[in-house]
Amino acid sequence: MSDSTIGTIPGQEKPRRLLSLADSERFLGSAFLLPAVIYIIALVGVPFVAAIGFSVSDVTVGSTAFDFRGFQNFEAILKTPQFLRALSNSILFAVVTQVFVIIGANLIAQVLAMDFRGKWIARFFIMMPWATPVALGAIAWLWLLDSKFSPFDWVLQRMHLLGPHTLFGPRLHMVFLGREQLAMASIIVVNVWRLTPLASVILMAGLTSISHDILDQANVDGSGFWRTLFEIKLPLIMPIMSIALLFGMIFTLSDMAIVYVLTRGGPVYYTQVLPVWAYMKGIEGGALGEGAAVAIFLFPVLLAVVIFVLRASRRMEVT
Amino acid sequence: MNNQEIISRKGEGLAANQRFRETINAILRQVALYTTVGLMCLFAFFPFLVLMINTFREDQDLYRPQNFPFFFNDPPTLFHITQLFKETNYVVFLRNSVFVGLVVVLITLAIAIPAAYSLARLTGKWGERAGIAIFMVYLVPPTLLFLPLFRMVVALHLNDTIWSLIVVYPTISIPFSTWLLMGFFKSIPKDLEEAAMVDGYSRAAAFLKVVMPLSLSGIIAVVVFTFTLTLHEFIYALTFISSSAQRTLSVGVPTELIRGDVFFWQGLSAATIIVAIPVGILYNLVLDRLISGFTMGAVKG
Amino acid sequence: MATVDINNVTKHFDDVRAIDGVTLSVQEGEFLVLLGPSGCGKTTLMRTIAGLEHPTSGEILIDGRNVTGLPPRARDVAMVFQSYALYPHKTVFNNIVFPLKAQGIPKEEWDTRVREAAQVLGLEKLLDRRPRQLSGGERQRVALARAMVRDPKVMLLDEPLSNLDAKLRASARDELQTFQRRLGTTTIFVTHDQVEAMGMGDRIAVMSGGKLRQLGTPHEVYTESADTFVATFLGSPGMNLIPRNGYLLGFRPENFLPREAMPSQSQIETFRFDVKRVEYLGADRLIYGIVDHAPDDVISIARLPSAVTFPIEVHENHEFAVAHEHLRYFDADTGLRISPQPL
Repeated sequence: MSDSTIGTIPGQEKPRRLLSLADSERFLGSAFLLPAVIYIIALVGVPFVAAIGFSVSDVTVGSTAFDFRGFQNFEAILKTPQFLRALSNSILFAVVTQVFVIIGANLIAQVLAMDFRGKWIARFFIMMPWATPVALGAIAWLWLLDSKFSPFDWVLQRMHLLGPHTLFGPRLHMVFLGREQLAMASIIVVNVWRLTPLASVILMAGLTSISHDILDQANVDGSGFWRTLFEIKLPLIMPIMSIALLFGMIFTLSDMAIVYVLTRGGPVYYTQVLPVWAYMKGIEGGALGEGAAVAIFLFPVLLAVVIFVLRASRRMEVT
Repeated sequence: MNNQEIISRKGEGLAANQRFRETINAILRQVALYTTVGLMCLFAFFPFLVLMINTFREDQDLYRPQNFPFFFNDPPTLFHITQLFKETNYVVFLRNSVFVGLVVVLITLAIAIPAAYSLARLTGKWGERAGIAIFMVYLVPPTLLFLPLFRMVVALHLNDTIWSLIVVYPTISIPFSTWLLMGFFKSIPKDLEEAAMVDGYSRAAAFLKVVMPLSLSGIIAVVVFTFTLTLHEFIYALTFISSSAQRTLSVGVPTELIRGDVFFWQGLSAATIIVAIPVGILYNLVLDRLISGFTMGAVKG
Repeated sequence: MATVDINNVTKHFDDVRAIDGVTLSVQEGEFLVLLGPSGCGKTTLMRTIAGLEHPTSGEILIDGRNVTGLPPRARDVAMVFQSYALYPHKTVFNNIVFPLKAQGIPKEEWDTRVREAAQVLGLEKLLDRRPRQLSGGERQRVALARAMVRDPKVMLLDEPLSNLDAKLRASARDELQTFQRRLGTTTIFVTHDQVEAMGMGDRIAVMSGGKLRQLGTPHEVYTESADTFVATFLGSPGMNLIPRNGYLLGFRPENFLPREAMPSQSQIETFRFDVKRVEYLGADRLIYGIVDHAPDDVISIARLPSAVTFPIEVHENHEFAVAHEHLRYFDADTGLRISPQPL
């Protein structure tokens, strides 16, 4: 807005012009934003389009040839039994994980919002799974769920729940990751273990943003702990809870480290998920086109999650 | 008079009774609180406890299924830690991870800080929408992009070097950091900058001299967030890099210490704990800032 | 309806004494105002009565029952916060019904009681709205409705008028007082605004530094201020205090008039007044100056109603006077009121 007035002062145009750039909101606004936009277009936008291109081509790791194959990649994928399994596993893991994560995170956020001795150390313990690199955290569980040395097996044996003539017997080991149902449950447990801290942090942010007056008011109005929780606190953090849900869903759907480290999709392909399968096909198998086609299937799922969660949160804010 | 005294004494008794009940309730609440906290800590932390013990266990102790799994049955040993540092590329992984992390932090700050300020102050209404759009980019997962990016990395001759990660990681850190910083910048009163501008600073100088120092805690949060993110990232690291000397921790440790069916368990445990504990402490130190960042960015939005 | 007795209550936050040994009785149906500057402990005292803070020592009795240490829900008090603290996600109806639900009042009564409260405060048409769709005055009335709906023993109001604009505040003051008279509920009202306090309170408790300075009717605390704090805090401007013979001589600006304007029959004390500045305020004139023999930094103020048309000029040395009955005497060290001293 200062540009026009400055221009009318004769003889001072040039130095002022330069000065005015540092003051022009328009110029600074664009100049500041541009690098981020370029970066994102170059390394998110372009590959995103390329991913779609790959999925309809026959690119491989080795060759640079790029031939249009139409929907042949998709057809090939859809024909395999792995596809439905990987898709439904991805969705199942994400949904079941988030149910437990949201419950656990609410509990943790409530507790960590209180004042008590040793809170710092408790918070440290609780946050550890999220602070640890996923792959390394998964390795910790790989030992805990080992087919031979699992400490859980040892405990179950001592409790006479595992071994000949017992509830989980007659085998001596649970082989958590070698049996279909148990392997799936294990993956969910590890996902819950890893993602709950993040959701707790987000919910804690929501809880601290509730005004003290509102909580004092509920207190004076005679509301007890549970009523305040269900009638005041939870409804007020509902919008931010949906953000936690969104993060959690996307992290589980797109994470490959846990499944890759724990089962590599096995036994057989019973715990296969889309990201791991895409990696195996695209990089290990060298068929980039088919891999990209697998990964592309994540997109509608992710989009559905984003739309669903955002719409739900908006509805909750209105009512 | 007499009657009233009786009534008031009765009231006293009732109140005393109620006070007693409140005391009991308070004690019960404490017990419930610590039990819940204890269970939560146990679930979250016990894998690490097991790792800590395993790090120092002898082979014949670790690999006998009948042995008590949560403590030493034989005297502890430092052998495997020495082995981890001397005979594996662990130190290289550590160095690579720290290097990648620091460079990515610098790139992220250089790009996200101006972008966030622009969205918070300079671009008005459509800036708000652009802010949401940028946040949405954060939700586009690496899983969707790693195959084409692999191809791009190869084309740029960056494959199999840590530079491929340095180039690609900011795509994950910039969107979230921009969004987080936007919240911090918005929470700083406009008056402060305006006062600085009236005092003779340019818009850009006002930002550098006034806004930046006040957003320090947000910037620290971004630094920690970005650093841990690079440390955690798995898919790109796995895809882009195949030689051991260029690997970072999250892929290097599982590939180097798991050879086919042979697991070097003590080494894996040590490698995990040595990274996890410091990062955990760091994370906890900036947690309040992350929370307030979330509150400013998300809750208001 | 109930009495509230505060017995020697102290509240420390770490090293800060927010309340420092306050003893105070509120009578049945009374409208008591806690008045003081910000940070004087009045809000803490109110929160202590509500049970949101617990006293470091001392006890609180509501209706003769010792409630010290009990949580708010066991005290049967209602409170209106400065921010009104309406539940943003609940409709007006659900806001008002919340205390009934929380207190376990049978469901059948909810509807009639909410509607009753809404009717008293003229909110019938707003019951389906949400707080953010209401104006400031409407929000305040919703907060009041929520406070009265369960017929509490005591109503606590924490500066409920300070968020309203000046015009609305005057009418809200009036409404609030009528409302309280009609319900007859014992009410404690916290404010830093002396006009509100004087206009609304049956009695005013003036606080400062965590201590209760004076408790009395508006007239008492104004005309018979117990110490220099109360004397200077009340009135706009506050009482003039002039050191004299080892004590402080006090008189209010409106009683400090040009000699010529004094009724001739009264006993008066005259002062030579060195006029420094004249401020014209419409209905009044404020004359700033220094009284003869007073130190240079003790500025006294005279407040002349517009009926006194006598011209006063800056730099004039004029004779002013105060009727003997309007002179007050305070101890120079403790600031407490003392008996009349030789002039």
